[in-house]
Amino acid sequence: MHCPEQTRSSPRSERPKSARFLCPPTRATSGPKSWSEGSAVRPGCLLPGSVGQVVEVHKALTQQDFKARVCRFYFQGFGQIGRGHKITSYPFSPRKSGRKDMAQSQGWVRRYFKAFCKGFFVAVPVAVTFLDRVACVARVEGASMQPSLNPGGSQSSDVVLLNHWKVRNFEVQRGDIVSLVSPKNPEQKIIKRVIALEGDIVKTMGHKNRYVKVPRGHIWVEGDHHGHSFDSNSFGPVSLGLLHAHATHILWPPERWQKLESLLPPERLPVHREEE
Amino acid sequence: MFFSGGLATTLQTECILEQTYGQWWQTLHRTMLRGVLGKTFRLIGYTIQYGCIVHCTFEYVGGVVMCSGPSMEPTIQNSDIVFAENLSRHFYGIQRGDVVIAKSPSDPKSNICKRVIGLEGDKILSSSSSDFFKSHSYVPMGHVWLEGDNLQNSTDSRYYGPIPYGLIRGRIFFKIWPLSDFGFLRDNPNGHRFSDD
Repeated sequence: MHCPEQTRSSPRSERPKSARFLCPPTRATSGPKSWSEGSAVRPGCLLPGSVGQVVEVHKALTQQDFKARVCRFYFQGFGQIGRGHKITSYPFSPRKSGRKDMAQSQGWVRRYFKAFCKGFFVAVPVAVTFLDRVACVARVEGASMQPSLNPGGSQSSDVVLLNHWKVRNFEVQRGDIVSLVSPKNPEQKIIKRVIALEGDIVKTMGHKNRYVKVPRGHIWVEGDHHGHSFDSNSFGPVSLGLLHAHATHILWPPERWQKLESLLPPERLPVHREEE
Repeated sequence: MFFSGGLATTLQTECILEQTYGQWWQTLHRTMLRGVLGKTFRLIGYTIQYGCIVHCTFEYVGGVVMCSGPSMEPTIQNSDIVFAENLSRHFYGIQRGDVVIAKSPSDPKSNICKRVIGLEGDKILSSSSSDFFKSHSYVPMGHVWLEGDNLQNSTDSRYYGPIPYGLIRGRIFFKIWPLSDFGFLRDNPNGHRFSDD
């Protein structure tokens, strides 16, 4: 391990004020005898082979802190050399008021970025999976389910809790209020009540056929406000694959907190039920 | 006197038992159980996290699917492995001629794999080519008309009618097994089924 010989070619003002050197001076050099003086390391020069060879520290540092600072210093140094810059910071520079260690401020940014990435990749998939598979919340618009939902019309719209978990096996009962993808417009979801399951014969209101037998894998849905509802009376039985969620509770406004009952109005009972 | 004495001793033994049990539990807790419980919770946490990432990938990006059945020959044979992507479904970019995976309209737990012949509003030749009188029908709004490539051996929209767009799960665009057939899927071999719209 040799140090480059001290040169006097660089003007004194260029040399850092109180630099420490990172390798022991060889006996041949006629440099200063005392460590504390130190020989000025020329800016821009990285001393090979002197990694971690600090001879003297002026401040008592813990071993971990010392290693971290030396590593950061060399990391920066290599990076700066690659970009053609001069090394302008040293691991044991004296603390001046207001002057933060560049290594420490960069480390803070990197730590923050790493924590953000970790949190992002954990939180977003879990949240998305929860909202897709377990439960979510939705606002109801329109008057097709009055008086059960939105009785106030356009003044206040209800917010309901949609439970995906209950319909994960496509099991619904007659009278449930369910949300499904609209068969006429796939970008929209509609919320209706299940009137009949597969195999039942339904007496329709406004459909082109008077009596309809619900095919296998389909359900018949209707809104509670007959005549103001775009439901199976318009588009026929819907496939169970379009089922989205089961609306179980009203969450807002607070005076309408309730559990939604799955009861079927008696005049809408199917004409013939298919009992399993 | 006898009873109260008996009661007192019973209570005393109960207290002693509780104390020893409590001490035993505490020692166990401090030494082994905490490590094991900690590891178990961490494992459960990682499983939930990776399960959610997998679900999001299959739901929103795509996945690998194995197709079975003869209804899409010669494009896709029985037990072929293909790539399916779900981005087209979410951005409503399914075109005519795409091979799609959809939920079966009569059984929501099983999937079908067919080719899109007509989108909403298209005029479809709904009678088979052997009939003398050709009949057309229009695909309703929000529905698609699916047909398999193997027309003799496929139950598709000619049997159960057009299906809603909301049942489509993804689009198949690349075959990865068998290796002799590696690559993008071929076009519709039954080109004459398209009616001009």
